[in-house]
Amino acid sequence: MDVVLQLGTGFLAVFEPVNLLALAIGLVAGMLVAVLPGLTLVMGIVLALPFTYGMAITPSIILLTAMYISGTYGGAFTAILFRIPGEPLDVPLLWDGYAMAHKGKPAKALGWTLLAALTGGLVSTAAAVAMAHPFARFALKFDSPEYFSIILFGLTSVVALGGGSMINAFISLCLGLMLASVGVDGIYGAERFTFGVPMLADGIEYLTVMVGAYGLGEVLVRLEQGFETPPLAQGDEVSTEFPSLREISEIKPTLLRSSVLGIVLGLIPGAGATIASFVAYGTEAQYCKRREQLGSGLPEGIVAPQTASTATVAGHMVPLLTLGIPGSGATAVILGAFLLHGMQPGPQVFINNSGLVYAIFASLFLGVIGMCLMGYFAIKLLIKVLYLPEAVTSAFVVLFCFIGAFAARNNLTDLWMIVSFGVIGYLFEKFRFPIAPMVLGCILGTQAENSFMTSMISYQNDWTIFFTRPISGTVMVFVVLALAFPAIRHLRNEYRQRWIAAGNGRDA
Amino acid sequence: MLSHIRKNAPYVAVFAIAAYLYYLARQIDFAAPGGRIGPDFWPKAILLLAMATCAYEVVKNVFFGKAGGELAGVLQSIVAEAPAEGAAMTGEEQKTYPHLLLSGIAMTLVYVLLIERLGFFLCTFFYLTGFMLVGRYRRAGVVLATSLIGSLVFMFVFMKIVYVSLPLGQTPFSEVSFFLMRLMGIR
Repeated sequence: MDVVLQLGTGFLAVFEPVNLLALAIGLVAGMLVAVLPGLTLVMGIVLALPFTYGMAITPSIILLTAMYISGTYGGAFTAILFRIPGEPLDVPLLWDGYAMAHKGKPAKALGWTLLAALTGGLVSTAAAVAMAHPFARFALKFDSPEYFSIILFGLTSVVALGGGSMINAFISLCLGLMLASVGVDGIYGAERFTFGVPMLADGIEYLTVMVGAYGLGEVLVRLEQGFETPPLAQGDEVSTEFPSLREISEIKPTLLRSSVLGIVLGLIPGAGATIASFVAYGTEAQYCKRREQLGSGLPEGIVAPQTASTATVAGHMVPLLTLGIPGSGATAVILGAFLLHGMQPGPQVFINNSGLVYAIFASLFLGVIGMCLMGYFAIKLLIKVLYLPEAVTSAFVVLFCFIGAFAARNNLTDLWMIVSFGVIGYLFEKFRFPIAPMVLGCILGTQAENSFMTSMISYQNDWTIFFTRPISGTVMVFVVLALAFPAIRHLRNEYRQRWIAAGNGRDA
Repeated sequence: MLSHIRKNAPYVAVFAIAAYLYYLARQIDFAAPGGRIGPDFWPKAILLLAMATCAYEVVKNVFFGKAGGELAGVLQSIVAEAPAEGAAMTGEEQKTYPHLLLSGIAMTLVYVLLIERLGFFLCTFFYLTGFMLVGRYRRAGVVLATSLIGSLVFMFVFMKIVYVSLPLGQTPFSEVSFFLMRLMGIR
């Protein structure tokens, strides 16, 4: 009952004109960012951050979370209509969404994505509201070993669950953790890797790393490709046809499975919307009744990835708000906004700032509904941005990167940092090293080191403490499983291939 | 041979950097009470892990080549098992323009180098114009108009509304900034 009352107060807060305006701007900006192929969702949220410096904390967070949630939906339009995934998380929509559109049912395909985003968004937000307070109460029992094991789990998840080589992801993570260790250490006050540069004594701002690697790095990659975007098909007849109740009831299991997957993967730091989208599609490939038709324009193939990716947003907000641990690039930026406004999320958040927390949840509910309405009525207008020349938008993206970094500390040295990390981001793309582990390592590195060092000091250098305490021990088992799972999968696939090569494939 | 060098170069570079940083980490100055681990422990542990991983990858590439296989993340295997349309994720070979990339990086460096001297407005105007041209957009009127309007709007929004003190430049270029500030009512 208390939760309902608090949520009601949260809705009242969101209906204040400033907050409502922030929500509307966030939804539109998120959609635009997701639609434009050269801009990624995280990059868009990073670029919006400087605009929040002059705002109060509530509209700032509402704006960024609204961008985050609508960004998981906007890219579906270009994936389905033009076969251009606005975000990596939209790639699974190419398989069935584009196939359905290609069969002459684009409006129906868009209707399925709308239903999926609506269901995933609302179900996950309701689950997050129900989970957050008990989770925060539970987290009050956490000590440094628990924090360390949870952060370690997040870091290993991003390595194990990502695409591409795990070795490269691990090296990328190590680089991120090293970046986080630059500066004066928090326990002994010793200077590390400052090279006599006074600014490095304060450490390297993770926002600078994000802006450089995600923003400038991506622009440099696109520039090397000559800003060539594939020619667009005719998109004048864009409309959305909502599925009938009978059709919806047929895919109820898919909606349920994908919502649960999205929420669970959202709770795991490191597993983002892209992973949820692919895992949900993979799950349908194994459990859906019509799985043999998957890839030919099946509603389940559209609904599963879209539901799961939208559902991760509310899921990610739970560890962010209750533990202060961001599980993705987007939530890391939102954490940055919290810190810039002098608030540290954590287990105490429901004691000190419950009004803000429920306003965020209320804005998520309204955001989901708002983005679906926008998707239904205004998408024709929004996808016009696809016709903007990429050279023009990219020039402004670089400008946003510079201003965003400069505004945070008013220091021109940060611009050099941006350029350096931009080039590093480009080299990462070029040599197929994922950027996400580096960024997450840089964000969580300080927290990881502090909780590790505090544990070691408190428990007289006894490293077994991470395994012997019930909660941290359980999480450490998950850490081991997360690392072992890809190796087991790899070995299983190799065994299967050998088995087929040995001539047993005919019988399979 | 060349592809071998290209494949191993990033790991060798990371190994070398990590080894140098490890050397620096050994010289971190601190006083830890008896038995406690110091502030050098964490970076050293990470650097050792990074070096070991790089060494493993180089040895695997040199001695086992393709037979060594690649341990991929879960997402990669899901993509590999997905329908044929999934090829879109892996991407086809695309034509590249290294001279555009080098020009873009050079221009960006020049922008950062000159912004304190020219001031935000002038430097940004030239940068936007140059970047769009380097990005192969050739409609001069649109380029000039968007660069001019963009620079002015950014200056107005960030100086007047968000209160960021953007660089004004040195004389005589600062006069342009002051003139525009007067025009926009920025104090």
